[in-house]
Amino acid sequence: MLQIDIASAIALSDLQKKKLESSLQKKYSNKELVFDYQVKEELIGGLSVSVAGELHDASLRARLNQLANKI
Amino acid sequence: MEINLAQIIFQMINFGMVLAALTYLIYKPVLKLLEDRRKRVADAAEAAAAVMKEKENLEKVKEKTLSEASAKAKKMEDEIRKEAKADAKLLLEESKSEITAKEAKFSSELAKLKKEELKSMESEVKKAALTIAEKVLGSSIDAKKHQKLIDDQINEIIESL
Repeated sequence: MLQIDIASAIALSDLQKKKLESSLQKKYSNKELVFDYQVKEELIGGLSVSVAGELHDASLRARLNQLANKI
Repeated sequence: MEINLAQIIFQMINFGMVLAALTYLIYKPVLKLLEDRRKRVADAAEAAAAVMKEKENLEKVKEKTLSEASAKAKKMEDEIRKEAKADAKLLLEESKSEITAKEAKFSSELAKLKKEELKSMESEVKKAALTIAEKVLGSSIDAKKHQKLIDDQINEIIESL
């Protein structure tokens, strides 16, 4: 069983969820995936996906933080 | 007038005896007295000369002592002046060195403070820029743009997995 946490600035549509889940299912085909969706306004825009603790953060908040670190 | 030889002889003997008596009783003591006086005067003169000589010697010793004391005092004064000058120079050099060290320390601390202040300002500027960017982005992204952004990011995340 693989826990996948998905956070986004606004709620994902069913279509978006489906697209995301099917893609992840293909990637981890031999595992049972458990999805947990959360809405976090502090992300400003975009979403972040955590697969078994490994974070893929593409939110605007993360990009602003990267930008701030580069300044 | 008839010459009486006996009388003359008697007178001569008498005179001789008186002369001998006077010589013995007066002349010799007077001579002895004079000799003693002369001797005392000579002794006194000799003593006076010795005293004068002693006085001269003492004057010489006094002058020599005064001269030596004066020279010694002058030497001591010179040495004290020299030492005081050396001490003053040393003190001045130490003060200069201390001032230089303090200046260097102050400059270093000032530079450090400036650096810290600059860093703090940079941090504040970053925070302010981030806050402004958040507000601008938050208010400028509508629901449609949000959806579009999420669609794009789903593809991006899938590719990165």
